[in-house]
Amino acid sequence: MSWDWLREALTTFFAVTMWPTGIYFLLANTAMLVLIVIAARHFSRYLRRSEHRGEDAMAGSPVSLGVSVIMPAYNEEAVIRTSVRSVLDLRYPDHEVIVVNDGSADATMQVLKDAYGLVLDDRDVPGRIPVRGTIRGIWRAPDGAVPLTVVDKENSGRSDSVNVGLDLASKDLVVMVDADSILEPDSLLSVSKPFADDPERVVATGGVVRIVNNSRVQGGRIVDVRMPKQTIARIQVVEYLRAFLLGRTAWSDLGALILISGAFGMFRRDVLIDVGGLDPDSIGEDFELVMRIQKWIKEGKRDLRVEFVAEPVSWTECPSTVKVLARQRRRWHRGLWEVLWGYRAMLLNPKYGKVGMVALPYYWLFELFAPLVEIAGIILVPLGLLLGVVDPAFAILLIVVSYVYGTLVTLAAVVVEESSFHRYERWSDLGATLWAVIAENFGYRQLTAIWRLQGWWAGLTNQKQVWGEMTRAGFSEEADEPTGTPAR
Amino acid sequence: MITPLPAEFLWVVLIASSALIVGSLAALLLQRTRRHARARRREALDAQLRPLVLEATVAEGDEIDDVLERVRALARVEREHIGRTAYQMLRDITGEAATNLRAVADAAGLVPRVVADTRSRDAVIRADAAEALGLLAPEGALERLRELARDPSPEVRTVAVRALGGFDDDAAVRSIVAALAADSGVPATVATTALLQQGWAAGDRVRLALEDEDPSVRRGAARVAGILQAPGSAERLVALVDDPLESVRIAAMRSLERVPSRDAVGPLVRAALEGGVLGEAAATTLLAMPGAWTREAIARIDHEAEPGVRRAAGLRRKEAAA
Amino acid sequence: MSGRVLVVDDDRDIRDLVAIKLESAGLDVETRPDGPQGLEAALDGSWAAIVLDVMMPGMSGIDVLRSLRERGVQTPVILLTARGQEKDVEAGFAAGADDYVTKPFSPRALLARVTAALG
Repeated sequence: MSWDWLREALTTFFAVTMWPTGIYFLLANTAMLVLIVIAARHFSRYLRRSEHRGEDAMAGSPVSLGVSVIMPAYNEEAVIRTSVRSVLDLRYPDHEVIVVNDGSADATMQVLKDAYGLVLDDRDVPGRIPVRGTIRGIWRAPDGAVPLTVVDKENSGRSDSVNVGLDLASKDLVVMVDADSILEPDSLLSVSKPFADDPERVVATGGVVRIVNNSRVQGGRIVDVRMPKQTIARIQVVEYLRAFLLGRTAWSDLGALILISGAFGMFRRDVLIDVGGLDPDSIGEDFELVMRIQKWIKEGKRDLRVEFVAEPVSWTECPSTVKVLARQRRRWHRGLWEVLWGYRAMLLNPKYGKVGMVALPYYWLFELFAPLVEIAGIILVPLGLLLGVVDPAFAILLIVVSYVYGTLVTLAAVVVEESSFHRYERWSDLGATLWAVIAENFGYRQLTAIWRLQGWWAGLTNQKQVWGEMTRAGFSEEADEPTGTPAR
Repeated sequence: MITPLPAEFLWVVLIASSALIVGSLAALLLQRTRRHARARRREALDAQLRPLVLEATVAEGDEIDDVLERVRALARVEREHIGRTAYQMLRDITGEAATNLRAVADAAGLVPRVVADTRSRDAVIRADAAEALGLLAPEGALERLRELARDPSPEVRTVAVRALGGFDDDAAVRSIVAALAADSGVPATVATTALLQQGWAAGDRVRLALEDEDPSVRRGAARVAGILQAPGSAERLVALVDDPLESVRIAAMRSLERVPSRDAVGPLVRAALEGGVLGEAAATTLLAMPGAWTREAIARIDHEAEPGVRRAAGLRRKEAAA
Repeated sequence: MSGRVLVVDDDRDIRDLVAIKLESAGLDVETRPDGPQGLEAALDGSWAAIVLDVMMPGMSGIDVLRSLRERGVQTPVILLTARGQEKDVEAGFAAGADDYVTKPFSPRALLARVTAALG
């Protein structure tokens, strides 16, 4: 008798929350499914045109737009030589490389000096972008050798290093890459193509980042694409496929792309300087940058575009241990929260067109809040069952439907990949992929939801204290993680 | 116990999703099996027919007729494969071997199909046909490509203009120059690259285009004039350094790096002092000119220009110089 | 004409096109599909000349060439470079190439250069 009021309260609570939760899952997955369909349509159009895209003609054309490749490097002595070599060797008629040594404690600088016989470059520095790290010296390869500039500076984090490189860039386009990424030989060609096709309107492009774990790499190039061995990495392959390849293609098609991976984004240099380069205080700095560019476009009523290229451009090592993955996801979600919050004025604001009315609501609802709803479900449903206020048959049905529908959406992404790029050709790869599609539902989803909530919480509570430390520590840990790309 | 909405709805979603999952799995397996089977079929055809195509590339004199006879005698599937193989290889080679490959593609029956495709209602097929016309260069290809350069679809026009770059002919050059216009729908880099492929044949037209009313035509011409070393273009390029449009000015400056003119120094210094991307381009061009011409100009930049321009002019940091 | 020539290119069409032209002139040709295998073969046998593609995944032709010269192998090397990639030509000569041919290439011109390199 005395407990009836609690039962009553819980029953009401579940009556109010359970259905919205179920509907939320259905909506989130349906939205993703729509994005996948849009991307599939885009791919089929794109691939039909592969016979006459004329990349070879452009690869040899002296009128192509020049590209400055900016590569920040922190303690990269083991790979820096190969990385620089492989960027210099990219197939492109006119590109320079600017390495920014971010106060490495190892021999990164010395390795470069020895490899290229660098000489001091004491030319003036433009100073158009405010930077923090003090420059110790600017070096370059001796005249006529290779188009390489190396900046040696005090440690100030990845974003600030990119800004230093941006200030010294001399070409029309700039692209930022990580020293530990593996680049496709044609990456500059594919990502610069939208600029060449529509030079008046395209201001930024991004390409597909894929996972390199277990693939065979030689001299900084992929020679054999393979599925990773660990389940945790395989699931991420599927995740990347769904979110990065298909999701971003669809957003680009809709004209509302707000996220380009920092591991390979190309920008018009004048625009990047106009908006002030990367924000060194932001955790999701690549997300923040594209948001800032979109805001600048819409507020200036400029007829400009941000585009995504469905070609793979760069390959990156994904976390293969739970510990590193947890850290990455916390950081991604914290970055996501801080950028979304920082630009909340754009949310549902018709002034910002599809970015404000479609993309941002999607990111708020189905990215930011997703882990909250997921965890709430995990806690509340068993609790309700335990207290006997939820019909067990019904609860199980709701859960099964959510998971089966989610699996269908992921599988649709795999089907689209299979009918378009099919980079994983072995039968065993297909088996591994399908296994990952299923396995994602058991443990992985729930764990990532917890980490994402932790990251969000960290962002909500102790922002100020960790700023300086976060950027610095985050960067030094980067060796075993991909770059700071917020989720999806 | 609560069931606020009908569970039937969930059952429908569940059953539909499950059915679609099974369907997707079947589609996956089918796609992969078919793709692998197709690859195997091609491999088998390749093993049988590739030597014939390769033989054609090294055939001398009458030997090619013999090869062509053998190609014509093949079954349709085999001829199609030969056509594809020869077409792919044409991208890699030039000269006599390429001429032979074109003959092989013709004997395989590729040309009539390509010509018919130029009239397709599908723009993608017309664009593919334009690409093929450029590579195969059958009789009448030039005229047809010039028509396709006026196609309603910008995609087709772009491919046609790019293909026209390979035809050494004034009519081809005229079509390409026309494609430089702002409203042509052909990317400027495609049209300018095609002009460059024309080389000397384009020189006269490029010089004329430098004075065109359309700034896009002026810009494209300015971009290639220097690389082509188009005779008599330096004077016009100097005038374009003061063009009303910034992108035309920059294109002219980049060309002046290769065809230096002393008359350009004055306008370039003025541009350098304006700063920005324009100023940097001006300084870079000045740096590429003989030092005797530019000594005063560089000194002026040293005193008055912004740091970015000073860097482009090769000038040292103030504190480093001190 | 006689002599063994090694052809290294990742593109099968080009490998075959080069091989058949050189063979038609009476040369003995062997091919390899990538840098590492090319280097291994180059170090392994005695070659009269090596035709080396610059743009290969993994180990580029210039990397192979550098390794060869570092180990004192002085076999004449002719590079295959892509059109418009003048920097490859510069880097190639700096690494010790004897000659180069630009793709798309004329098999006849390539044969002439190989012949010249054979002395």
